[in-house]
Amino acid sequence: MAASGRARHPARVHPTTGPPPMRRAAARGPHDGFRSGQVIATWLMAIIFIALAAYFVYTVDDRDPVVQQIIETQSQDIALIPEAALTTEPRRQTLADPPRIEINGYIRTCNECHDLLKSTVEVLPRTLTQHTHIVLQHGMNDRCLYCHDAEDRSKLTMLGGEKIPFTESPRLCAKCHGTTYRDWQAGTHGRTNGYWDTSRGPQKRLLCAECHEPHRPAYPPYQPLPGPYMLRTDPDNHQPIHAPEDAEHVNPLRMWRTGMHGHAAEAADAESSHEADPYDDPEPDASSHDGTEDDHDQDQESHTPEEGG
Amino acid sequence: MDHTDCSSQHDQRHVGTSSGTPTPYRAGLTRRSFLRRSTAAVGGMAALVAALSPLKDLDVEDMFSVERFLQKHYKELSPEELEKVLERIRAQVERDYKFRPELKDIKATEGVQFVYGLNLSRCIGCRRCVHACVKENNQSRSPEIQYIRVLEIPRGTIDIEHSNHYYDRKEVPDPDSFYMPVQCHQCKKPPCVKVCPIEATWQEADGITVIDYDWCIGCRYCEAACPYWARRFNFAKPTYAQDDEGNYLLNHTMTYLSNRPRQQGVMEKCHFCLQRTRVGRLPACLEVCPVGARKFGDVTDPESEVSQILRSKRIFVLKKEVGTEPRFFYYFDERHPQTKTSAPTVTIEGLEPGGRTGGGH
Repeated sequence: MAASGRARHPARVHPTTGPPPMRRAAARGPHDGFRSGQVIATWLMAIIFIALAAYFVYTVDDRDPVVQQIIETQSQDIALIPEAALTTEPRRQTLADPPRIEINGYIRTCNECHDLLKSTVEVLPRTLTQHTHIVLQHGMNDRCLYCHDAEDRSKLTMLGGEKIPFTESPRLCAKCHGTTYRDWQAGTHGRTNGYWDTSRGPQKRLLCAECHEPHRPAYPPYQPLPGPYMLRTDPDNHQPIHAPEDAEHVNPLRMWRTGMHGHAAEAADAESSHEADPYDDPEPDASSHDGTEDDHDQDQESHTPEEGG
Repeated sequence: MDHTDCSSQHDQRHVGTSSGTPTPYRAGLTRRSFLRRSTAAVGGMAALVAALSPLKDLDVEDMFSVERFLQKHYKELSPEELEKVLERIRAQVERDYKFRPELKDIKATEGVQFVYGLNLSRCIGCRRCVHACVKENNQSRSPEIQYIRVLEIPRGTIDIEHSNHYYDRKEVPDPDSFYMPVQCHQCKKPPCVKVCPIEATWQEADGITVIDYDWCIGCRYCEAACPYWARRFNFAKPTYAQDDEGNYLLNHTMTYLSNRPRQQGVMEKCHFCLQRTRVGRLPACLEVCPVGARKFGDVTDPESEVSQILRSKRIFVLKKEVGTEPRFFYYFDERHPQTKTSAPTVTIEGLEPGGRTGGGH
């Protein structure tokens, strides 16, 4: 197209022997060999530029074999959070009315035993032969019969001697924890599940004993789920890769692209204790951790003051 | 080089074969120039083809969809057009992830103002909320995207600069720390909306700031503007976990503005689980919270939990001085209940009322 446009012009000029510049300007678009060579060069450069641009665009991420390999490996090795860890069920179950509990492998109601075997006077330290798994750490509330009814063990006792079933246990807690009970009634203490809009679905407000163990009501410690950039597993030994010491200063993108290989070695020798699934046991038990993890934890704690200071 | 070339051909050009064109001055095609031009053209084309050759391995629909390219802004879509868009996304998800999602578009309810409260006295930093959110909202597992960051802050300060969200303890809470989860605060005056050059993000009638993933160009201005570090960028196409049969572990209930699978190069952030909250349910992070530290509701209802908290508790909002007016606030109970509770010695614990006054403030 450009060539034919140029061809209409009678003036055939030469860069050196051609007409003076004024005349050349009058002849719109001179077309000698030099010029057409320039045009070809321009087109060539344009094509090469487009080609390079296209090459960069389509090789920028997914075509990079290293990145591709990381994506493929990681998609197979994403450490899954166990379903049990994300349950929305209450952490504890409350007792029915009358309560049935397991004693020596049998499911029994309270009065099956307590009607026959009258318990002795409660002295401290207790000399219990049954219910020995109960740890009573409820502050100054340190007698069984402050809450349990002395005559009917399948009931709880209120201040005035009223017997209430186990299903109404929040009223019993309110004997002492009045402000918390008031908050709970208003919904500002405790857990709510279901629908915020009660016109569209049910709402369940958890009872005191669905979170707190009544004999030891302080909320027990919990195993935390992994933090950011800790879910990556090393494809060689399937161990979680933990963030490096200066993790706060790591570019997330760089971490994702190159981080796996850099931290695999550290992860392999230090984190062997993490292969056990920590969510099997819902009740945290300090005695079940081995020495390696304790060391690691101490490392963490020794870093905390630095980070805090 | 060209100079000598041209001068030698100067005369020949006048008589060059012009293949029937009437103009007598057409440039002559000598053998040499023909070879030169055709070599250049062939070389150029070869380079172009070589450069574009990776395209043949690509699924064209994966890279580019004409429908998506021509799609209008979410707010300008008519109901019929919106249904067409939803159908396109359903088909795309079905092609990519081998299941047909329950994809809908749920509009905001007029007269509802969502507000979120978080009880700092109760939070134990267990990160259940973080991962429940990832599961509910189909965030990329690799590269990892999480909407909620749980900050571990030394007790006695509220110094976010010295907080740590990489803490890796065998059990929480740490007696010397408290925990502060941070996510999108759904500001009433959102700076992220202000800086967006193409209105790909905006605030809805119920207060939720949303993103149109098909409109976002990925400039990340909003990420820089957010004072709460709440926005996340998809540096690559999201990767999801699969079970043993190869099924993708995704939440099948999706909406256009919230948890449908994102593409590479777009922003995303917390949207108060609008696929749940706009049908009356509570957000996923709240439902999984084992201690009930999270409270969500409609602040225009005076009997809602959040309204009662706003009336009766000591509350604060993060970075109040930047004037964003967040819909996300933090509050305290009268006493901090988590002080030294796990001390195993029975005798001393028995003397303290509830083990609560062991220290801490």
